[in-house]
Amino acid sequence: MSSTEQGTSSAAPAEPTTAPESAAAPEVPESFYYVHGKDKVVHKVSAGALQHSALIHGMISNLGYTEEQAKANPFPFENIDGDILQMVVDWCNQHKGKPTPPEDTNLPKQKEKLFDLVLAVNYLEIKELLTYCCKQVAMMVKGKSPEEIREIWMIPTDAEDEAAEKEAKKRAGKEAAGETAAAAGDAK
Amino acid sequence: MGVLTMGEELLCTAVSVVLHIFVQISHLVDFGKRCFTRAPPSLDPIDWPAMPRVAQEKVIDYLDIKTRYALRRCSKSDQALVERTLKTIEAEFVFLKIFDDKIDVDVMQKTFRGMFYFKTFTCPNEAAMVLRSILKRVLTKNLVIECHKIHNLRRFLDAWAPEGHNVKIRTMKLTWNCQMESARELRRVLALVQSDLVTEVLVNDGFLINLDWLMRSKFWNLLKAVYPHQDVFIDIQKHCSLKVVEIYFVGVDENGSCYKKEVLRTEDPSAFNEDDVDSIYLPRQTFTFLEITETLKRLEVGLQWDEEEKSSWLGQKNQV
Repeated sequence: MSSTEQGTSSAAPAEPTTAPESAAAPEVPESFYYVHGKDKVVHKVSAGALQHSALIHGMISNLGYTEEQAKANPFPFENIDGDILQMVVDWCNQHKGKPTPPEDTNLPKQKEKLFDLVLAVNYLEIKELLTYCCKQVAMMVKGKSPEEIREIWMIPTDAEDEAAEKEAKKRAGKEAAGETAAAAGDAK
Repeated sequence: MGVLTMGEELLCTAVSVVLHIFVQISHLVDFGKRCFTRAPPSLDPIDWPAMPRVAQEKVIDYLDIKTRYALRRCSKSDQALVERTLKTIEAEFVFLKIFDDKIDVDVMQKTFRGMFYFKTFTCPNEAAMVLRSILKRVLTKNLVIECHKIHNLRRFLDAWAPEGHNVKIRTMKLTWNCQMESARELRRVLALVQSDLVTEVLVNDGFLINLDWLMRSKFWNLLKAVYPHQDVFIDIQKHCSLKVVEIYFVGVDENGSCYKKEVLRTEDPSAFNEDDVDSIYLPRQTFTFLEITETLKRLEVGLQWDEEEKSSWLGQKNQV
């Protein structure tokens, strides 16, 4: 996205360049923050865009970072893939300072990433984007039969679930037995 | 040698032809398989069980009732999840049409714009099970029941609300489109309706006998005393929006054909808010509670009154 300044190096945050957002609102200079995902690529995001995320917004207000501090300490989101974080940042920038319409067409179309996106958005507490993602997930199964839903949403049957549980229990039992045997050996 | 070579050539040709035919057939079989088996979903699967609960609930909010019921059948955890969300949704209409060989269930939800066909059931038990589940949880604004053959209706009701089964219907209005003598069946259904929710019962073209649930009032008790049940059919249309109850008394003559004996069009004070009574526009054939007493006095002629019942009613009337 053109509005997102993306760092290229993994170690240091990207050098902030003149952002188009700041040109749009010249009266108050906009503050920027930095986030990075699993791939350590740093994304520069304006404070206005980050307001969509209740988690990051809470972090910002609690930490009271200056721009320099923010640049030096990008928010790490190790559990979010880089490309997913990029999508989220793009979306936040696009919807900066305006309410999300009920039918949002600006969301990235890569539906194969939808599940990861839902997890990320839920973690970052971006309510509007989560609503839209959930709508997309719901659309995947609308009017489908239980078998089709199972296939699309990877839902195991109760029998499969029980079998997996039994297997897990067996494995846990074996591991526990191995541990007790090892402990007994150590004691001897 | 020459003959043998020719034979070999012929054999080779025959083998190649047979092989070619086999290849063609296998291609056709593959093509057929591709055509007739369900295409895999174009999207990558979602790991639904690993999804956060908040997101799962949000997703379910965007599913119509039909899809929710399909999801409900996927696993026990989904069943519990869906059932929790069903209580929060409303259905504008639930249409139940009972035919000889099938039962149609249609559901209309406001949020999903337009009615969608839910399912056609061939087995009454299956239809009954689904309907029990929907009507127990989903708040329905109008449940419309339509049937034209009494034995079909009875068969379905036996499946829907068997003895000892705790069936509850959460509907605000019940529309009974059963054009036959189905008073007992209507009473069975009314006994299932959650009485604090229902505000209107509209009975179209039904001959109703002794419908005491609908007319649980002193007036109705009197009518029951006046009209011997075995001699008369009573057709009731209760319009809560108009605050009017129409009661058609239909007798049967010697030839077995019906004739309209009496029509009473009145407000039933116990069925509506008392404050509304005076403000209702009452057309010509409308009686106030007092006027009805006069009418009934007229009807008293030739009827055998149970003295105890009469004195009881008169006592109640004096109290009023």
